[in-house]
Amino acid sequence: MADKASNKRGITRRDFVKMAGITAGMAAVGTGMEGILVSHQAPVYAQERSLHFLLWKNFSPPADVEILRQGEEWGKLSKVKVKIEQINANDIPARAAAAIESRQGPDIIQFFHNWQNQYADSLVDVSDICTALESKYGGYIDYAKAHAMLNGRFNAVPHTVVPNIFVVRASYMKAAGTASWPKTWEELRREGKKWKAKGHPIGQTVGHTFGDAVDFTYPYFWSFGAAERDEKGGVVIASKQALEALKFFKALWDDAMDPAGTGWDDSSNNRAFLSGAITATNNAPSIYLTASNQVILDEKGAPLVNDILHVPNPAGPAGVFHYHYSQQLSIPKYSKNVEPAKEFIRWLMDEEQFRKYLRRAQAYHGAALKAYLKDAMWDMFPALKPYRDHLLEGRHVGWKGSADASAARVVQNYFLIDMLANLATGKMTPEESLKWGEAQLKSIYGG
Amino acid sequence: MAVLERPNVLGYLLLTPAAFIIFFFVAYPFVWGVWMSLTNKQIGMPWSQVQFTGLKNYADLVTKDGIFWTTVWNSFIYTGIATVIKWVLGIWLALLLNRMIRFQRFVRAAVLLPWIIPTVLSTIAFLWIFDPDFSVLNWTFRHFCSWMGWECARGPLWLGDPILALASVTFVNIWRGTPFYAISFLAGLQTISPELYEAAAIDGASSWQRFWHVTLPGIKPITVVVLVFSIIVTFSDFQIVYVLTRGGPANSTHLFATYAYQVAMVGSRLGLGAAVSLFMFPVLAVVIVFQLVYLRREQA
Repeated sequence: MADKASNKRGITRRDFVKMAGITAGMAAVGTGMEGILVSHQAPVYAQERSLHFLLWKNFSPPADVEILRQGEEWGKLSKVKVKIEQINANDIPARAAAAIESRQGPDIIQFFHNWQNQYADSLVDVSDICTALESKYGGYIDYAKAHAMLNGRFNAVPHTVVPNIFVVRASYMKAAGTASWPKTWEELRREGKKWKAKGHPIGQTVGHTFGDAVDFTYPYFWSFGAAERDEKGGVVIASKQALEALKFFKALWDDAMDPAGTGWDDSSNNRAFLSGAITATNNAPSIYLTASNQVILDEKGAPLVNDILHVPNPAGPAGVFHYHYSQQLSIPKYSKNVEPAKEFIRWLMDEEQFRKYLRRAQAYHGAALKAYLKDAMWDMFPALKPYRDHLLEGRHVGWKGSADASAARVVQNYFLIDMLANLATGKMTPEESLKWGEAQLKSIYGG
Repeated sequence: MAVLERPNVLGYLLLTPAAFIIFFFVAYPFVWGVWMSLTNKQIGMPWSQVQFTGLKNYADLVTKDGIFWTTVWNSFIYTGIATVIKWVLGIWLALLLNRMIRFQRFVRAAVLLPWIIPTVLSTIAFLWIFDPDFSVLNWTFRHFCSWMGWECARGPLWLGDPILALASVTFVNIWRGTPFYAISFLAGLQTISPELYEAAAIDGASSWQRFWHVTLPGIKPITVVVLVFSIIVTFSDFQIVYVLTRGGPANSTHLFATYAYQVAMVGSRLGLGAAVSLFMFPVLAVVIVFQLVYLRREQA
């Protein structure tokens, strides 16, 4: 009877047992060998796409939260498994080098300054993304573009710039009798001497670290009219201007600066400032943001943020110069996920996402695209507006020449920074340091 | 199976895995490194563009590089001072441990701790210990000064002064390496027959004479092995300097390994970086040959 009933519906008991076997087999082992044997058919997979994104651990922690969230959101939208890996910025160059040379590793790598130009030929041409963004958002800030483009080809998509100007404790200046922020290096030396006498010198690293050391050293030399190379790429550091800069730095260091700076990394001046050890330091907005987010109080119990000023670099004989380091995203050619990587970068740079990122970062970053200079974000953080006001004044590393691979190697080897460190540590005289620096630069640039 | 019973066949068969490992993990990378040091290879540069440059990298380092000779000097100073102090402290600690009766196991385990903890972790702790403003060292220094009524606003710049920075990284190496010496020497001490000490005492030998004529000769074989191993590891040290100073201030603490890393991995000049690291080879080769000669003489 049962067989007959089954026959009426077109399924025999044999068919039922067979199908049940297939179903059970598939269910039991998922897509394993038994399921394949039972069903006599290979399983069909939707091949899972994945994307590995390597970037730094941000000095603005909310920015990290946002980038992780954005990665997750895009992953869900695109059905791509996004792995975001964050490491210390100082370790990115070696990690990238290992990946490039072994031809395996992250699909997207965040680079700083012009680091990626050292292996530009190993990176995917992303000019299509960049030119589209340029036309939509009013073009890139010059130095951000100079860092990301080599020989007419973008090897990275400019993402943000981290602005750097001086951060100052107003009450310490006032207590030492300084009415306003010094306009020139000479004035800074004179006033800084008073600050140091009061126990709160100027604090600046000249150590081997990626950010602050570069942000201070490069514009310092430029403001004296010195440059590592000329427009044709020749080494021109051995100049009267550079020697003047070195002589002045020695005096500035001895008179007004904190000697501990020779051993500092990028976080040391933040700690020194927040603990009241120094009066001024060249830095990104992280000091202000930490004081604000953690509600740090000054010696009188008032919020420290109320005592913080943001002011431009002092002028040298050649004028006022700044350096704001750029951050850009590259796709190595070894990546098997070039298209998803490009899709992800396009999506990140889309106004909706990018604006959220900037705001969650609390104006720690400026944008590499000029349109965002007018963004309402700057009104949300009025104390940080001076960073925006000086954002266009930066130069690229290697200026007056190109920001090419050699210029990246000079940054990576800390040669200009060590020219100052040689003086700060007392290892060399200004003349010796200049000679040493010229030899080191020539070992990279040739000549 | 009869074939396997022939000594020459079985011997080669048993040797194969070790030969395989040595070839692929020691010989091949070494030969590759030598080749790379004779080229202008850079990170990402296709091998089709790589040019043979002969000894140019070596010549450039010796004649033009403004950091190389500092690195050579630092490496010898670092290794020399650290090895001597580790040796002295190691013997001293081993003698103490050898005499200790109570809490013997606990103390021996505790002594080994610096050597067991991952170097990077313990060195990060030292990064804080050497901080000029917020460290326990300088806090103590400042309070000691004020207790003595002296004027000293701040303690030493442990990682900011070239000499102190080299001394600081050397200190951390000594702190980390002494337990290895101590435990190795302790093992050596326990192989010396107590009768030798008794005989020396009966002959009227002082404690210094017993140490000089009984203890030191007794641990000589293990001393040679420990010293050779320690010199190799110390000379090629990387982690302590990388974490504490990254070669700074003003390149005052670069060792061969950190400078090779700086040039090759950070500065992307692989050929030049390989040449830096290969400068270690002759020094280490001499040390190893010394050990082999000594061991053969002992066996003979």
